[in-house]
Amino acid sequence: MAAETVSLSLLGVSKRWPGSDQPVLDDVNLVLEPGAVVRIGGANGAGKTTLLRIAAGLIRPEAGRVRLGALDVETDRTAFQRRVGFLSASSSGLYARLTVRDHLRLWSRLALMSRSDRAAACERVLAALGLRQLADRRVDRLSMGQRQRARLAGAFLHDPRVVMLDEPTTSLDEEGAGLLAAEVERVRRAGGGALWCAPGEIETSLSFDQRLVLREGRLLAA
Amino acid sequence: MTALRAHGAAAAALVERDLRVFLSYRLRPFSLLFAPFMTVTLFYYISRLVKIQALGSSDGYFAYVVVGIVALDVLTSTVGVAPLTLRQELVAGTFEPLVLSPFGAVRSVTAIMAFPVLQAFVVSGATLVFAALVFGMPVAWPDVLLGVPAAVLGALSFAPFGVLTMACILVVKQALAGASILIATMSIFAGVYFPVRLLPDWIEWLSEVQPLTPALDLLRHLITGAPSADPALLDAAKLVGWTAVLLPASFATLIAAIGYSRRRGTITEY
Repeated sequence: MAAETVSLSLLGVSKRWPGSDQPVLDDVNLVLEPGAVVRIGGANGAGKTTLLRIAAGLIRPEAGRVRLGALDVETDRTAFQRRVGFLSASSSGLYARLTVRDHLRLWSRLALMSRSDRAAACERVLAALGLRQLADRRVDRLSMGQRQRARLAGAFLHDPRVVMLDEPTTSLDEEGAGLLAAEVERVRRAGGGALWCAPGEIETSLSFDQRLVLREGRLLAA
Repeated sequence: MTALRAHGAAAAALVERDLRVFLSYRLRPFSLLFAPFMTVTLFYYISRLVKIQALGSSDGYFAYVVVGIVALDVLTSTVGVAPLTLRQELVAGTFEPLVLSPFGAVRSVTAIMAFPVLQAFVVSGATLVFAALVFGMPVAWPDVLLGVPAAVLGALSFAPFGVLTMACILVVKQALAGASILIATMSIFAGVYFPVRLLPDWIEWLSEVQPLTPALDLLRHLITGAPSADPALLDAAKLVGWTAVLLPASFATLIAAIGYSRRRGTITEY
């Protein structure tokens, strides 16, 4: 995919869970400029994961829009998803009986990458996240930190313009956190952006361009 | 690379994924064949006790029920096994990457159906060979080769029920019991194990309002040379009709179910 510098924008996003009086997100506006890395904090249950899921197109808001440049998350879904990398806040999403390389091959094809790009992309993220030695090991024989690296490799595999990372340093050791920071920097240098959600302060060498906090459904400066 | 090729590669990747997981359990291929072989063996000896006038002889009944077992396996793969795979994806959290991939949720759910159906075809073929070689089930050569496209047509006509079950799973999360009831009901009223004419007159109409009946009629005629209730082309036309009517409707329901669960925020819940 040719490098492109586009902004991710969330415009007037609101979300209320069924049966709840209070909105989890209340008219949230956010613009992620090209080359920016934004950290979103907030207490447990503040709505960080919901915000990221809406931004990625996993769930839909009651109101508001999500756009990446000219692409709308709903109407240009395939093009939008080709440009977005997402990491959820969990240790799930992996097939226990498959190897790390099997996962990357699968994800690269689901990302609709060309045959000629797939192998190189898999090798690149294996190296970038320190997974080369583990490439042919089954996931159920990896440590939690190694699994997190494999999940991160999936988020960066297809050279996304924007990465959305929900508690990405979970289970990572110092080396893993450094490799993650380097990958985010790589996206930033290419004119992309990153949303980084975490409840508290995190230890990373990464510098954030903006620090925001979700409080009572509102996105505020931290 | 054209978009079509990229989408084909993605669908093939999901089939390959399921195959790799399947083969990672080394005894699974053998255990998969054990159950249908034992069922065929059981029905061979039951057939020695049975003489149904309409089927001519014990051998006629044996051939009748073996094809019934094979068709039921294909039906189960679409309506039961594929939705079970989706349910497992939800529980394991592996459905989320599929929804967020450029390949997308609808195409992924569709591709999830491919491996169970291919597996059912392989098991069905092995079951027929077993029945023919071990118990001398008659095989209508070369018409039996037409059984392959007929089985594909049958699977396509069953697919809407699997797609609808998966749509239900995405909305209410638990729909596998409904799928089991559907499979059992269809198998009784389509004549998997006994001719439908043995059913009470007032309920025989149920055999006419489902695709398993013409699929069985067609497959029995092509595989064993059994006389069919309707001309083969009419059975095939019925299957095409079921597919043409139900498949678009089932996909419209699936798309609506995905939209609904995305709006509710429950698409990856289980």
